[in-house]
Amino acid sequence: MRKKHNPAAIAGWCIILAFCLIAIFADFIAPYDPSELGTAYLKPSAEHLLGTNDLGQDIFSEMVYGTRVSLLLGVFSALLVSLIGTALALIAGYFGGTADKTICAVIDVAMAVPSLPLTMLLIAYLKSGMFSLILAISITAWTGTARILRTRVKQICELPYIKIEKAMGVSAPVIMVRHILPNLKDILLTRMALSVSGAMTTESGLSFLGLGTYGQKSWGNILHFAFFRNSILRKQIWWYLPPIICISVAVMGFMLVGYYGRQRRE
Amino acid sequence: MFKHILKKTLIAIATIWLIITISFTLVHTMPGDPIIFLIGEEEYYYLLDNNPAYLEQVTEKFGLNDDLPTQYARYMKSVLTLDFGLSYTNQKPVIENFRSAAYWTLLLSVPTLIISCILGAVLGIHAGIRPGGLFDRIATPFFLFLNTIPSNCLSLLLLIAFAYKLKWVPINGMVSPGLSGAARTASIVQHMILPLCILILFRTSGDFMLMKSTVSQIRQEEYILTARAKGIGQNKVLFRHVLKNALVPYSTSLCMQLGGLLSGAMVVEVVFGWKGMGQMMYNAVSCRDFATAQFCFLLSALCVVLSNLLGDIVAAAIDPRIREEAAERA
Repeated sequence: MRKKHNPAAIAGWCIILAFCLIAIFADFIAPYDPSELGTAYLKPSAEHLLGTNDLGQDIFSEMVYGTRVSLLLGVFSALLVSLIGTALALIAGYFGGTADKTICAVIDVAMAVPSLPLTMLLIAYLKSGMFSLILAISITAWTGTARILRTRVKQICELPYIKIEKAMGVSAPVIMVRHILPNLKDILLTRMALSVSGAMTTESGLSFLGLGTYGQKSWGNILHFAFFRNSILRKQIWWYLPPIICISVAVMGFMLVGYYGRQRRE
Repeated sequence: MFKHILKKTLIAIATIWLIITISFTLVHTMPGDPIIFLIGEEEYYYLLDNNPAYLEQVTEKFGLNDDLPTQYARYMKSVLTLDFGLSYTNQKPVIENFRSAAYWTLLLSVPTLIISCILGAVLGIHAGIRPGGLFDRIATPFFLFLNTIPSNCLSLLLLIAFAYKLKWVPINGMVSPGLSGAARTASIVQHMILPLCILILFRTSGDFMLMKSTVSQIRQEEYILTARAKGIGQNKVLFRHVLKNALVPYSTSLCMQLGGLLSGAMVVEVVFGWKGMGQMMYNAVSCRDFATAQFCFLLSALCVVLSNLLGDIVAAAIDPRIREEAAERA
């Protein structure tokens, strides 16, 4: 069978790949140290491609390093979300009964908790930092993954080969990890791409509000400073536009992979 | 039917209780002295250095030296009597601040809900009834694209375009000062038009997607084919068979959207300087005003739980299948 790739998914992969390369080679791409101070509010020139901000930091370098922070936050949140979601889904779907009922109840409660207010409340309580932010983003985002995977695990458990293995006395962890998990690969990948885009959206919103990480600047942070330092009034288009474009394009890249990445097999 | 509703109500009450408990444990399990969350960080360190005796007095006043169950009981009581203490940014009761904020937020969110509900349904049906048609091919990518842009980005772009470049609408705030009567109303409308449009765009795109996918799914059902084969006209099939079935998921989703009425527009409110609930929570969190932040969290949780309950009840009321299923299980 010839695999036909969906053009939308390819576009998505290209976007992700490009941003990953920028993030990995940030040290080589960025002409300046993003925290280095200089003359404030310079216009774009050959020396400063996107000018400088209110502290005289090079905005282009900030954007390049911001890619690293934004991607890391998005990917790690998605990993945590997938980990929690998959583990709970496997337990609920495989064992059924009380475990299933308890986990479903937990999912229902977690879905009822409003996500942005809880995330903000957690950020207020926790010490600010990258890990707190990842935790706060993930804590409300895992429910969708868990719910969808649980249904799939339940379906897989009805298949003959799982039943045979159960009858043969293969231990539960082995069945779950070796035999059920590989079958979840496709859904998991889709959910993960969507989780990354969701996490990046949340992160950009939080950082834009000034509730993100301190010290490390993500795109949302740059936008926060651009907005609250009146770059719009000063008509500094090179300051506020790049983060908007980067956030939107990156989120769209992951969305495209999430929505269209699986279709080639169907 | 009543059993079904009763069960859902009990679950909702249990959920609310759980959420209140979570917010209580959050304060008491976080690292650091809980008194910090009650009087604020700066105040705490100031008192710790200059007046430890007074700090002890405050701790005593909040009852933080009592054992946890006593504190928990007192906390439950204060939540149930809506006594959330004073906001320490302006020293007014939290509830009082809430009233004015809620008024401004509802001014934005109620029209949003109504307009986008109608708009989303009409456009969604149009696109869903002829998948692959001209309207579907234009509208679907447009709304999908809209859905992917984070709201802070779109708000900023539109703010720049319409307020700064074209100068059609004011940049910030809710009303120009020193106006009264009709002039004041006109000014409010002028200020709210852009945030309202943005909220409507986002909401409509979600409603549109839901309606479109529901309608195009129902169109493939066998009973629609049967109805057409019987010779029923296109419009009659649409209204009698397709729409009647599409109403269930759509109205459930509308009920759930009610949960976001108070807290759903935070980013847009901040961008436009709209002093509503979202702005209130944002300020509370950034000033470490824990009394207000906690109140906002509990309130939005309450809204979400209640609206989910409403969604369940409405679904059972209009869909006989759900009623029967509930009756079978009972």
